[in-house]
Amino acid sequence: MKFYLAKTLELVGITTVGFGLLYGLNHEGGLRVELNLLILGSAIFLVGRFMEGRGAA
Amino acid sequence: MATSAVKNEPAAKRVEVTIQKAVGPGDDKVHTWPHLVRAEFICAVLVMVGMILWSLLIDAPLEEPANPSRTPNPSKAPWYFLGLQEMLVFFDPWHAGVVLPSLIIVGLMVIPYIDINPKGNGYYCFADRKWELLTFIFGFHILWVSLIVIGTLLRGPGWNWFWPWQQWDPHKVEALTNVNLPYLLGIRDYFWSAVFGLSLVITFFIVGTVGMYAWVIWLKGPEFMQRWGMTRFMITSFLFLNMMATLIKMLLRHLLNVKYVMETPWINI
Repeated sequence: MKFYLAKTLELVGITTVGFGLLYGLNHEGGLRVELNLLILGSAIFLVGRFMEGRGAA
Repeated sequence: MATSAVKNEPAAKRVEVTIQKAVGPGDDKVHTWPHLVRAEFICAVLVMVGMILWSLLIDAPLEEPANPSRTPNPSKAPWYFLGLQEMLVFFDPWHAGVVLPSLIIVGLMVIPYIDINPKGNGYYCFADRKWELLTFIFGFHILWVSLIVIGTLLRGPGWNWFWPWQQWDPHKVEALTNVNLPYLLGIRDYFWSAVFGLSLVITFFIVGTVGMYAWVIWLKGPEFMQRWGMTRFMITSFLFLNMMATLIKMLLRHLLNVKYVMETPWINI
């Protein structure tokens, strides 16, 4: 269960990063929002990544 | 001076300068970062999300640990090497496993040096690069992808050919009598078979090079050949004729059960 929660967080994180990039692509001067989304997405991904761990399988 | 002016300027007055974007037909150059890299990164993110979902939903098709006393039949390489494994049907291992892959790598490396067509830079267009694209499509799809498809989907036990609707029968024995081309043409003597095969290979390359020279002159004119240069032409012609020879050899094996065109005690082609 923990594994799937971790994977879900990773997916949400990556998707947030993607959304941030898409926002930057479509909004002129939207660098601040884009940067915030990129940082937020990276943070969510990292939480999932640390929760997942390695070598337990 | 400019730096100190910016430093002294209050933060509220700073204006965010947008990164240059193309606005008209003449203004066709934009920065790679962020305009291209951002879009590429979005593609990478999409692929990554897809791969994570895929890996969560479907298990990798791993088999049980290898047992040396019970090897699988057919023993297949990973799918991306099955094109090379399929080549072993038609050629000696030294040719299929060393010469042809080396020619592919060297051929791809020399493309920037032998290609003098300036068109097609920065845009995609078939008409401007017809021969270049057709040659690449032939090499990639016929000589690479189709062999992977055949090796993956159509080869069964004993490396026999099985259509998708046929069951893989491990007891099937193909009653194929592969013969060398000189033998097929009635030459029984070992020495003269080798001489005939070698002559055939050399003749193919000489006639092919002359024919390609005449074809280029007819198609593009002598001025183009002068610009292209004899070295570039000879390298291109050698690589192109090798591509054609590979296809011809494969067809000879499929249609006439020809094993080798040239057979010697050391090298078979």
